[in-house]
Amino acid sequence: MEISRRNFFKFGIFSGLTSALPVWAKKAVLTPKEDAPPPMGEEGFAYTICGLCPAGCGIRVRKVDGHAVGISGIPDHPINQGGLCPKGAASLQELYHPDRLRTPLLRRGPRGSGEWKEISWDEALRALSEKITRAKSGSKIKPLAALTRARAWDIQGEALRGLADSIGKDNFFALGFPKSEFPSDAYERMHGSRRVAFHMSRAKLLVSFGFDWLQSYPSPVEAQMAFAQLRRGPSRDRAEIVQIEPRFSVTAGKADQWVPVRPGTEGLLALILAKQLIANETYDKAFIHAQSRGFEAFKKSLDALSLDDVSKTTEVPEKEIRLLAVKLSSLKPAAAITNRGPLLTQMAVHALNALLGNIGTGGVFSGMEGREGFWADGLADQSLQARPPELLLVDRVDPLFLSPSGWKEIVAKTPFVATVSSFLNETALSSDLVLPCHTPLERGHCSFHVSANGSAVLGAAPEAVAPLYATKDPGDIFLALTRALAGTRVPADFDSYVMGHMKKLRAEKMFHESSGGKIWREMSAAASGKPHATRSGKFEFDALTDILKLQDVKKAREDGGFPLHLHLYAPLAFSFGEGAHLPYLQSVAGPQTQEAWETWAEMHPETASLPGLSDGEAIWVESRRGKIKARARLSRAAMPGVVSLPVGLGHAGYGRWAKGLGSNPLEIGEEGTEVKLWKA
Amino acid sequence: MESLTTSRNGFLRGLLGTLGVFLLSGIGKAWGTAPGDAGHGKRPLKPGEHRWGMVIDLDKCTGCGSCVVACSTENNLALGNPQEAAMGRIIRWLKILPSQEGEFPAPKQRLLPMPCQQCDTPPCTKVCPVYATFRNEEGIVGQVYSRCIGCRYCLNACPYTCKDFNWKAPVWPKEMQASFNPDVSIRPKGVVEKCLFCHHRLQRAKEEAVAEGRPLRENDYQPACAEICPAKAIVFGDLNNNDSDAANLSKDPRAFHLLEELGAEPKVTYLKEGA
Repeated sequence: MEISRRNFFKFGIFSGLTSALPVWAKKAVLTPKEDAPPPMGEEGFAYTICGLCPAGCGIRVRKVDGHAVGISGIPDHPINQGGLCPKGAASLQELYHPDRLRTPLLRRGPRGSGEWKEISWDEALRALSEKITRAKSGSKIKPLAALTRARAWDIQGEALRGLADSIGKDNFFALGFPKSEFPSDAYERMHGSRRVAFHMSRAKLLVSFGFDWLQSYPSPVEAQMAFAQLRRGPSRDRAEIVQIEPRFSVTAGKADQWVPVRPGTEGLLALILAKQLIANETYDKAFIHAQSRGFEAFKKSLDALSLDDVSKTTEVPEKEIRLLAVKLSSLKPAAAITNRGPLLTQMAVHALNALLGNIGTGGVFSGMEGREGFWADGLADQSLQARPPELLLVDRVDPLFLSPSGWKEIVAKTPFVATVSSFLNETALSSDLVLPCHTPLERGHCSFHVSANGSAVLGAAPEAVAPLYATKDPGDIFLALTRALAGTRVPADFDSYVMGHMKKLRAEKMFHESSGGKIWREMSAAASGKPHATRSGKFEFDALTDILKLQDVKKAREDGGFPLHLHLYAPLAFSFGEGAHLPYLQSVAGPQTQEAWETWAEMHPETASLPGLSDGEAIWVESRRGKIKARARLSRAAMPGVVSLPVGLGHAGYGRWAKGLGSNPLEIGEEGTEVKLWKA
Repeated sequence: MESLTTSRNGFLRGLLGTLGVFLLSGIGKAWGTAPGDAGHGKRPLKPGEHRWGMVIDLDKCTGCGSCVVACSTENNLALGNPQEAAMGRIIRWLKILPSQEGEFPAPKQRLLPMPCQQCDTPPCTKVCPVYATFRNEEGIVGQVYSRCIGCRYCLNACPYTCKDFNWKAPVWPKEMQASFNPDVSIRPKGVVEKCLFCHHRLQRAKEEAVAEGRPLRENDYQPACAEICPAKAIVFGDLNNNDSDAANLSKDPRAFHLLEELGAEPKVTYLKEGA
């Protein structure tokens, strides 16, 4: 259109009038109309157990046209009460992950070369059962070792146990996070039972020794719930939360007080606190005299410790230690908790609980009736390293990632390794045969779970969605192998095997009526009464005293060119070392620094001690065992002399979002390992 | 009309008339609306209408991030990757905002879950040249992707940095498309997106209420973040309903709003940490 004088005025007037429209008219014309939501396919809900970790939360899966499109917690489930952890919330991504394994794989090239031949299930199961038969008849060494995750009883584990039992003894092992078995070991030696209930929300003072419990409690949802209870419970005062830890963690930030401590010396701090309580005579004398054994010897063994020495070794000021002892004796009930540390730390902290009179009815800890929390023949690392088996069957765990130092040797020495997994993880990559299994949403569940406060919960529910690929339930695989090897008396198919167990547990009704959402039964309330199952019927200090005699607890700091200490922690998004394969979890891995999608090393600016190193630069973290790359994150909140690294990244496989991203600090050491830094 | 364009007289008359209309419209503005309202902002709510709001108890919140993941799943948020993370371009409608003060050995930390603050006088809607972002009658600040021209004025106007821009079209592997929530559209390249208080859930809840011939009840509608929070730190509800937990908690002595002094009147209330 030509810009004539006439047109110019026409437009001028038009736009003038438009802008002159009253506000309401403009609004009526321009405000977007809210359309009705699009028509939806057939909607339904499936109720099942999350199954991504052993906690056993109840979940509700929203399905539209058969696809799982949403996930939430079951509001009245006794374990999670409607809440879910980030991992549970991300479980749809695991189900629909594009890099899931779809067919059994047989190794073609050398181990770890990534050359595979796709084979059928018949071929795979035949090959494996032949291998087992040959191993059984051939040599004198252990024919088979089965490795699975430490957890309470479930139907898949039962099938694996059946397979292991049909082949030999002492061949069934559980793998946990490094050192995660020590808390139970400590309870067993001091209480005589691994079954301990943990009434965290009863405490008025909660002191954690090196345990970033908000991020790495084994039942994540319950930890968050307990925190909310401690802070704003319905009818009680606000509890005091003290966090003793080398890193200013999420828990330390949420606590009332953070006590920085040198990595690995938390146990020493617990011992000196015990000594203070005894010296001040503020311990629970009635409990100690009536219900414990070996107190005098324990008291004597503490003589060697002086407040001054401990303060130097732990780097906690003397004043702070004295103040902590006063807090412990004045705020009741006071509970001391810890996890995943050396046995000495576990026992020292638990001795503190005994001194505080915390054990038994009404206390924070109590003995528990009901089923075993964990079952296994022992610690795989130690016994298998000495005598590797002929054949290793790995069930949905990744030992080469979680404990690379010991397991690399075991795997190298084992002639045949078969792995059941949904992804090509570290261990699967080094296996000879990989058997793809269902993700938790595709398999039926029948399992026991122990809630934090000690009630045992039986869960039973069928699969939430039909399997996407030709994968199998792990239990189905183990049952098929047992049948091929032992033949008779094994049910013909996995479904009837599951139903047989359901019948025994009187859970069939639960299983069939799961669409109503009631997929659990509480088996027993937290027990009361006799707290100790030791032979003496008393709490045993001797076990701790014996360890104290053997160890030089005041071990001085060695330098030798590695001036810094490594602190390892597991972000909630990567709890149990798993989760890096899901993009939604990657983005919430480092809530404090908003760091994600790579391995970051937190340290104090003075600690970095590299001239010119600035925040965000790439560095090498080197120990005597090796070196890994990380991004330096300088924080004035960090403890000087400590380098903190998250566990969970650094995979060679595990799908496109995990592969080649970040590094695994478990490759270079463990908690407290001495390290040095240099610019990359 | 001819005289308007041909004669000098008519031209002046026309000019005067236009000016007059401009003036009148200005007066109309001054009369018709409340101070602080510049157009598509606040309209007094009819009695009985809902006004949706959220209360986040920072004393209970543990910064676990479940809300972030639940929101991402519910709203088909782009997956993200290391490159986007390095550029700060990961789109999350709800973020955990960390802040740290002080230094070793006594630092302080705050982890603050940050959804759209759903302002009653939203700064973002006022700058939108195409009415793609607006505040609806129940207080939810909406975003119409098909209208959005990607100018990012609103993104800059938001004092809470709660809006995200799609610099690239999201990449969705074929397998993962099966888990799309059918109630939420996939955003194209070049538009701004934001937290909508899971508005689609409200629509579904209303549909259900109508089908069952009853009014909408409290708790019929909960956004994904409030529903999943394991610490029960997020409470959602109708602020116009005096019996709702959200309405009561928002009057708690611990209650505060972010950047209150800006007068955006957010409907996300925080309860401060500590006794």
